[in-house]
Amino acid sequence: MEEILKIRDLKLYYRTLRGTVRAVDSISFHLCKGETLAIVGESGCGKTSTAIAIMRLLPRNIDVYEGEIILNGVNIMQMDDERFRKEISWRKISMVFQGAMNSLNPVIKVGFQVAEPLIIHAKMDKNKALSKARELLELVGLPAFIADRYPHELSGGMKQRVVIAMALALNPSIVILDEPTSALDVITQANIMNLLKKLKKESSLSYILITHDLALSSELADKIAVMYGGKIVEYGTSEQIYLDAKHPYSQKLLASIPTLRTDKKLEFIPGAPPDLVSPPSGCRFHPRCPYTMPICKEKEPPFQNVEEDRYVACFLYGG
Amino acid sequence: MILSANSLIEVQDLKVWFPIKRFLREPIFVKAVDGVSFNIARGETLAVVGESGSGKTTLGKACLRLIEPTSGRIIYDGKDITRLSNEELRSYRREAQIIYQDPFSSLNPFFTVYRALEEPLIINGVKKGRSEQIYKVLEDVKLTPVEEFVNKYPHMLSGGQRQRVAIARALILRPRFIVADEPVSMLDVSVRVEILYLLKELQHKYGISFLYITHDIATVKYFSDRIAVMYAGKIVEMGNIRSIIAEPIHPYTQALVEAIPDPDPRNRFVERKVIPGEPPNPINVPLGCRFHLRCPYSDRRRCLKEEPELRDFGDGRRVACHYAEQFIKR
Amino acid sequence: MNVPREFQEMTNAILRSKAGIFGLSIIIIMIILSTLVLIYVPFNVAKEWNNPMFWQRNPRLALPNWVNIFLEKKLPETIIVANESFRKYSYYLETAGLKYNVLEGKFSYEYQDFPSELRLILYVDAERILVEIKWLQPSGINVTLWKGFLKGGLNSIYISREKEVYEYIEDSLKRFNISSSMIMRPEIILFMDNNPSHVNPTPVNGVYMLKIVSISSNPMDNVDAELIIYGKVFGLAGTDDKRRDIFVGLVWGAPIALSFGLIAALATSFLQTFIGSLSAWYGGLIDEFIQRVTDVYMILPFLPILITISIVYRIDIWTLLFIVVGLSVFGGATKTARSMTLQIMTEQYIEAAISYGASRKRILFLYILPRLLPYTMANMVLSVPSYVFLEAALSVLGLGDPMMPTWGKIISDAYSGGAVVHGLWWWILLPSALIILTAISFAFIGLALDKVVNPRLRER
Repeated sequence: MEEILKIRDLKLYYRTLRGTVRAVDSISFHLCKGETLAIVGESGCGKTSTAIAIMRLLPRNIDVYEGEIILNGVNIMQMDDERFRKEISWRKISMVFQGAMNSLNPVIKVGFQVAEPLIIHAKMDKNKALSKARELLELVGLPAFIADRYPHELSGGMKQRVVIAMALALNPSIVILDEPTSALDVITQANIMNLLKKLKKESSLSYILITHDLALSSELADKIAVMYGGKIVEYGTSEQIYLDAKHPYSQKLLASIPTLRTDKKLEFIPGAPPDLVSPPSGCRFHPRCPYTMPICKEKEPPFQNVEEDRYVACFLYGG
Repeated sequence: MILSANSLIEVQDLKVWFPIKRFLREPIFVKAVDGVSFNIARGETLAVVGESGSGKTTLGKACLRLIEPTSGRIIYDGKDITRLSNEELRSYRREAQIIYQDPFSSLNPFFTVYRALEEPLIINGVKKGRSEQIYKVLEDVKLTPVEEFVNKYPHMLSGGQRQRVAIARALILRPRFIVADEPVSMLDVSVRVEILYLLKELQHKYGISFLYITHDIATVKYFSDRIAVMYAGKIVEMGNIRSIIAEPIHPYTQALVEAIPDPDPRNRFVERKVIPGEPPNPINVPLGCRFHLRCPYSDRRRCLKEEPELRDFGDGRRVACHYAEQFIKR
Repeated sequence: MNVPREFQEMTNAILRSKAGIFGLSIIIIMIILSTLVLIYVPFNVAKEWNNPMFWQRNPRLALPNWVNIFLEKKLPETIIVANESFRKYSYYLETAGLKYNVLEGKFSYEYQDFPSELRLILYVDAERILVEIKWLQPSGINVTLWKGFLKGGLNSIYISREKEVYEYIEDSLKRFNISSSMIMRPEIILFMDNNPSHVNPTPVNGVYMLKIVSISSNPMDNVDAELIIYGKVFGLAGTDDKRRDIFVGLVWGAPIALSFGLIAALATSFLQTFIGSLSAWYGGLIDEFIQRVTDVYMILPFLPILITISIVYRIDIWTLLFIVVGLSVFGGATKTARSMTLQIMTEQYIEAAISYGASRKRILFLYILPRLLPYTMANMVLSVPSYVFLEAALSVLGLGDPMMPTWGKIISDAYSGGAVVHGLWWWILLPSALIILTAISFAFIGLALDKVVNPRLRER
């Protein structure tokens, strides 16, 4: 399949009062056209920072921001901010932010808010943009008259659809979904997931789904990248990860998810996720890992290719 | 309802309405909890599941008299505590505790672990053996070695550790009834199970009754056997967790179970059968069955007019649907 | 460190930002300085400040002595030729029944400018004496300053001012064929070389001598002398028109300004926060009452009321402090603390406390108020400058404490002493600079603390 996004050695460090937070520490992955990659991990593992790094929505206290982000063969890290904003941001890669539905402007009608990116980025005139906004709202399963409503008149699920419509406005090839259903009820969540599946099928979109919920990610993901402590520890297809996880962290994480329909003894991972200011030496999972070997404390395991399109960072698989 | 001899707490037709004052007009009411009845046996857990706004948290707090019930009765250990004054509630306050969802806001940031646990003892006039009790309860919640934790402030602890402190605080007065309001939903996936197992272990050890409030049906069976599904302030279905997941009767329960994915790579190829819409505004609940607007099986006649009662279907299963019989596969 | 996060964050914020360190170090220097000076100034400044006798050995309106660093012509410092510096010999002529007391005071003068004034003090331990005072320049010119009878006790001969002295000088100069024009003052004539043009008189450097010969009748009679040659520079901060050492006033003013500002800020911030919190926590009628009173308080014109009170009653600085605190028991912080408390009240640990039976009072003091501490502290630090300014402003308006030397009082004296008109810059600029420095240092600390209190300024 055609590879549209390739990320190599991406790093994003923040400067804080406590020290440098290595939120994203040299991660590499790729994304193919029409494919969904889920980045899963616990809170503070660096998944949202990865999205921020790709979208170049950097906070002020940035310390290190480097690596390669290759979009359709072009390294967009080398673009200046102005060009990135004009050519890439929202046109090629757009994003649905976590809790974005609560950040809709309460005093502007929904239609205008969806039309906003069209007016700003595509320089469309207002009326054309508004009629396009109505089309977009219908695309995400909302009636067109919603365009004339204010955000407070909509339910949470409807607002989330509006936010998705905004992300789709400029026909991007990649949409980053950062916890797109957090704070929504389960039934609404299932509705939104159905919508995302439909959009993916119809318009060959590529998603990067960022979530802490491995059950939810199975609804969309073709590929899965498991993040732990600012690093990707395992990357593979959905089948490979869910049915045959290799990295001890992925195995443990899957074993800790309560399932509704099957009965299994749940496991948990003792200890807490690492502090990204002073992560453990060697493999960052070694203090919690049941298979720790002496080498795990000393050396960082390489992110190695174990099968076709499958990578694991663990000494259990050589290295 | 018959007062069962074994139940520790019994709630009868409990209503919690919040008035919204309006200028020169009659107030309108937010009917957060609108006629709920259940009982919990000694050492048993009842899980209450519902979406946000279903009234489950209000129900839990009303059971503890942290929110005043509008009508109905709460009978604890054979004694009606619904109308007791704050003074008379003192002994109930010792025996009924709460564990909150957010371990970041449920601990006083200015208290060390030791101080946080000492506080309930001080307030309830325990003078002797405070530190022994504190050390014991910290061992109970597995914050060991205890010495390492007693002098720490909440911000030095991880989410899971903080929740353990909150559990320890609820336990320290040796309660017999604990309301656990989403105790694991803010925690990392990898530590959720640990906390649920801990709660279950403590329940066995001390014979505590739990009211486990959650939005996540998937976690229920790891902590509880009985479940009550709430929708818009009412219980729509009650019964054994396994039979409800295997065979949900109420259309809402069906939709709820259907909507929850299990981690399975095949999920991405199928669309889920889900119901449209969202729960009604509790200020303005629909007449008749509260679910009829979203119900795929609504008859648009009886469901619109008549509010279904919670009917007993044997084996502890109770359902509030006019057409429940049709959904029972036998 | 095992402290609640709030405190840790506050100290971190101060110690890890440049602004915080800057502000803190200035305040610490100021505190050290004012405590040290309290030890070094061996007198009760508050008592002596308004006593003109106490300061009479200082020059009038002298510049700070460090200006000499920048000047080519060095300005003179004050030289005091006191008792011990006089060579003293006395003899008694029994035949005549006369007691002779001769005092010879020598001093060297090495400045390029004239002294500002001359004064001779004679302590006469006799009923009556006949005195002749002579002045010897290094060039050998010998001038009789004064001749005549003096009564017993302390006699101050103000050489620069007394007409009689001036006539004597003129007289003796004539004998040396040195003419002096009428406009020249004694301190200039006495130190001047005998340049006949007198256009640009320069002082003669070298050793001068003052010779005092006294004659009296009793063999036990004694005379002591003290010659004060007032300079043109004095101390680190110069002097004012009442010869007071401004530096003493400044360092004495520092603890006053700091304590006034700190106490006023502390009291108002804590009272306002407490009342605001109380208002929110108890709600109902208490809330309504406190909020309405606050509204009224906030529209009362603060300064005019204060000025009226100061005019009607002459108040000292501590009464002023009391009134300031009284006038700001309710204020902006009451409103802020109220809204913050309303927010804290929704936190679950409060409800948890209710659930294990904590009383309302206990929750307010142990659970809510500590949470407001960071805000209160920042608010306090930020309001210190305004109270320092307020005290200064009232003093400048002449409404402050009339006895205490505060910075504002010094500026007020400078203003009424014509410092602006006559360009006596040190008299105004130095106290102003201190006021500004204090305000800035507290503002800097406040700025650093603001990062803790104001979440928008916080970086992860």
